[in-house]
Amino acid sequence: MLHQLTVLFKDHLSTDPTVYCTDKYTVYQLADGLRFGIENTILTPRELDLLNLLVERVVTSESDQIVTWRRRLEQPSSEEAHPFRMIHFLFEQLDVRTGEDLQQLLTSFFHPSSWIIPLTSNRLVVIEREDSVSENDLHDFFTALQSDFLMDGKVLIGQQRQSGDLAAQFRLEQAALRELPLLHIERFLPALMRLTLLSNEVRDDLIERFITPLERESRETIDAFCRANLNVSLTAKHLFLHRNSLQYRLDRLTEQTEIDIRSFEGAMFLYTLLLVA
Amino acid sequence: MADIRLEHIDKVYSGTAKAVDDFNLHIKDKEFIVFVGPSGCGKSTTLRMIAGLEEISGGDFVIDGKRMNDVAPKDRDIAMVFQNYALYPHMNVFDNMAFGLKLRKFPKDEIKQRVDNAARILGLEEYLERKPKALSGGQRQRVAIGRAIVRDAKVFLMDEPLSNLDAKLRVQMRKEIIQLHKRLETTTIYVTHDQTEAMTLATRIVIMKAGLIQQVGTPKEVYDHPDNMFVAGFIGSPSMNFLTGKLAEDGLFHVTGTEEKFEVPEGKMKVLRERGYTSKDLVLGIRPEDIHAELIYQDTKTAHRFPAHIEVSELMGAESYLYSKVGNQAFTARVDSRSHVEMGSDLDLFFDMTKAHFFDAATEATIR
Repeated sequence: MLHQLTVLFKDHLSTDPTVYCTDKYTVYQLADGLRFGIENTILTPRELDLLNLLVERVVTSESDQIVTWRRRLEQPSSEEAHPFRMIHFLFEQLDVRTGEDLQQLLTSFFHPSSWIIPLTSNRLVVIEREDSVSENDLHDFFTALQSDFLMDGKVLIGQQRQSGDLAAQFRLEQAALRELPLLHIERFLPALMRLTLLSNEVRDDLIERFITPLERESRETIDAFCRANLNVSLTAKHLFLHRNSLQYRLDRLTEQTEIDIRSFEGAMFLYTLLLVA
Repeated sequence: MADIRLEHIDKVYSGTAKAVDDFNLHIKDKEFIVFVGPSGCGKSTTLRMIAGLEEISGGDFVIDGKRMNDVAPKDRDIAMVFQNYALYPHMNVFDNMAFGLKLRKFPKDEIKQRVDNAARILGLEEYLERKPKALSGGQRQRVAIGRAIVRDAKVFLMDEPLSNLDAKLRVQMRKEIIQLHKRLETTTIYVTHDQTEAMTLATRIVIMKAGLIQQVGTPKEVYDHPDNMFVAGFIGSPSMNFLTGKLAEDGLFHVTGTEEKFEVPEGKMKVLRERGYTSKDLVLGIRPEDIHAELIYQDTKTAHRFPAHIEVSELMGAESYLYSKVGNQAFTARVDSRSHVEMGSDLDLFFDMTKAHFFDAATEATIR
């Protein structure tokens, strides 16, 4: 598609962010994530309508801080020293006015320390820094929003991280969001499981991130803990460990992976990854 | 004012059968239409197409003479209450109800007037400052309905709005929805899988199965004159009894696998003969309340006496359900609790054959 557009718009189209990241360009994103800008002056209203229909329009005019956040998300890697959780929204149809109303609504709902980052014309991410909204509240909020705006969408509740690579986490969660069915609100781990089963590339990335760094002892612990139906006493017995030693191992595992293995979802996630590794 | 026409509406998802197939319906102003049917029958999909949440694959959707297929959902002047009704958790009741109006840039005075009015209608005046967490399930549902009515939209769409409530509250809210419709007279389309809700709320019911309309009619029409076995079985609780058999030349209905013969009243016999159903496979349908236990029926000519062995009996309070069989075909009788007998008893039951329905065994259509 980009090739055809380049033929059509010639020098007025640019794929260089340093060129298109100005007011003079309207920026779009293709399905594979590639962005390009077309000079505003040569776009007719009809062409604008057609492009808005075919590709996602990217929002570019915001405060410097939002631009900085977005740049951090787009970099190959971007270490974050503070706790964060991302909530990803994707809507089916969203015009400019609705987009503005929606952003106001999100601002009133999330904690003031949160950042609302528009990504494209129908996608945005909220980065929570301090207080996180509860999943129930988010569910109610999303349903109420649907009945007011009468539009379909989906929401992915990202992983709560204490620190780490913000950009890598963002890419993974955005990929998981894409695989979610419409009208769904899902937590990170179940969505990621779905993705693991669909994409070998993601599966390998996840193994690399969660399983490879673990010592043999930790892997044995995951295996035994899941086989014992998350029963600590039984696992300790099978591993010939004192109950407290096992508790210590589980704590360390949670610290290492940032996945709570004592929860069913966490255990299922780590166990499945271990099986496919 | 809203006159709605759905003409030859189809919904096709890629690679699957039609979810909605040639749906035709004319909804007149002020009507309360209920779409009812089992899961996956296409009722919610049709509603979502009307709302604009689903694209219409084929056909025309018209409100007051204007084709709405390509009109954006927010511009259709439709308000919708969802099944998992939810409110903004961070807003109080007033703001929750006002939000839809703020979005549409209504002046502040009018917003206040409309919200106060809706709160009065729904009995929410004293809760306007409360957050949703401090409300009961029924109150929250009322606020969700309030969010729709403040908009004063042409059409209300309700997608199983009572299914998250407990049984007692559901009955109460049902009553409130009837009163609300009487007061506001807004054209309403309501989706449910609960036939009691459909019977009690609707001015007309649309019964659907596998994407197809089975029958459209008033609750009384669909109950008394079902078009086919599906409608007959779906509407009514306990559902209609069906006995398969053949109609002999002698005017008797022979129940398959037994010696039991039911005399068919003259009027019904005439229709069956004219339609050529003598010696053909038929299904006899009879509602549980048309099977009686009172001895007074033994002298009634059109009542067929059947010596029943009661396999299970359930005393419901005012009435009793007796479960028995003709041969190996089960049936239920709904009798007065004074006729209640214990399970294992033998009892004469009387089938009121004037109330019997006959269906074609192959097509399942009512023979008229």
